[in-house]
Amino acid sequence: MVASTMPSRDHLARIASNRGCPGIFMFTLSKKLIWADRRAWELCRRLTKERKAANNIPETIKDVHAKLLPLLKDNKGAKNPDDLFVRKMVEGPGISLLVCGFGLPDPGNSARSRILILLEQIGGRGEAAAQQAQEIFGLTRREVEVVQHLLKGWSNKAIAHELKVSEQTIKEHLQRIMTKTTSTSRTGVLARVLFL
Amino acid sequence: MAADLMLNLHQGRSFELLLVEDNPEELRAAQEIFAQTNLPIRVRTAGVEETLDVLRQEGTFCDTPRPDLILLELSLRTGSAIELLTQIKLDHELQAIPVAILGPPSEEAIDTSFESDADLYIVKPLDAQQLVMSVNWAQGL
Repeated sequence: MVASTMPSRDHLARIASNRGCPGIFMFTLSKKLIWADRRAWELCRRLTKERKAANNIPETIKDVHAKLLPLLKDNKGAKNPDDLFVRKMVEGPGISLLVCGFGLPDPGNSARSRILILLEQIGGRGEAAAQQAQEIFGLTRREVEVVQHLLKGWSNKAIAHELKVSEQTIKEHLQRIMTKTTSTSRTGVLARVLFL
Repeated sequence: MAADLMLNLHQGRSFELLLVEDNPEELRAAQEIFAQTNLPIRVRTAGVEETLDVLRQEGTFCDTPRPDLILLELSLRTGSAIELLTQIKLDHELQAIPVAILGPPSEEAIDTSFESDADLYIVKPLDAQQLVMSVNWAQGL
């Protein structure tokens, strides 16, 4: 998804500053990783280890890169920096990441344009976000508990076990949460809760 | 600059960068990048042997300021960069100094560097954008 319905960079920066330091990658347009900080690498390692992936860069990051690429290649859409912004979420067992991609165009030489990827683990701020969601979307106490576990990347089965109810009950809670947040998926619920 | 990355240097204090490199050609190439970017940073260079003395401000380096960022070449000719990195990160007085490894685009090299507590990994050849990113990162972005 591209910018127009997304929060501005300022808004994103405020969110990031409230949640601590994100991990950062910088790529060339040819998908070559040229700069990484430890946090970004460790977050990916946690995700890819769980998935037993051969490569440490998750597909979600490649997707974000692919969506920014045409915008940077033809140098269109660069008038507004917020147009060069894509975000996605990726979930794995025990970890959820918000992946934000920024295009850094070089108007003089598109080969020197870069793509910056910020990775943030979701969950640290989950309780506050879920509480906010309770007020805004009118979630019940039980639904807030489900959202809090969703933010930690837990499966329906794990949530059911934790809350000592059946998996079917969790599915029903989720269905009601989706209706209240006008979402159609688990990821959609998380996006709605995190970008209130 | 190609990418529109802003430098937020503290006023009244230059950014101190230590480049640990023992290959004259690589050293020259890196210095060209520093010159190209025209960043208000002070760059010092050191070989493997003297790096710890520089960082610990020992002997003739007693007045040398501690760097804000260390750029450490992974493939040093005269010693092991990973051993040097480990020594820096085990030293309570030095471990807070950010270390960026300059190395090849190999997952194994990146893994080894981060497992040894490197803070950043820069895939060679170093360019101006990577340098600005690293300086900004070292200053908390």
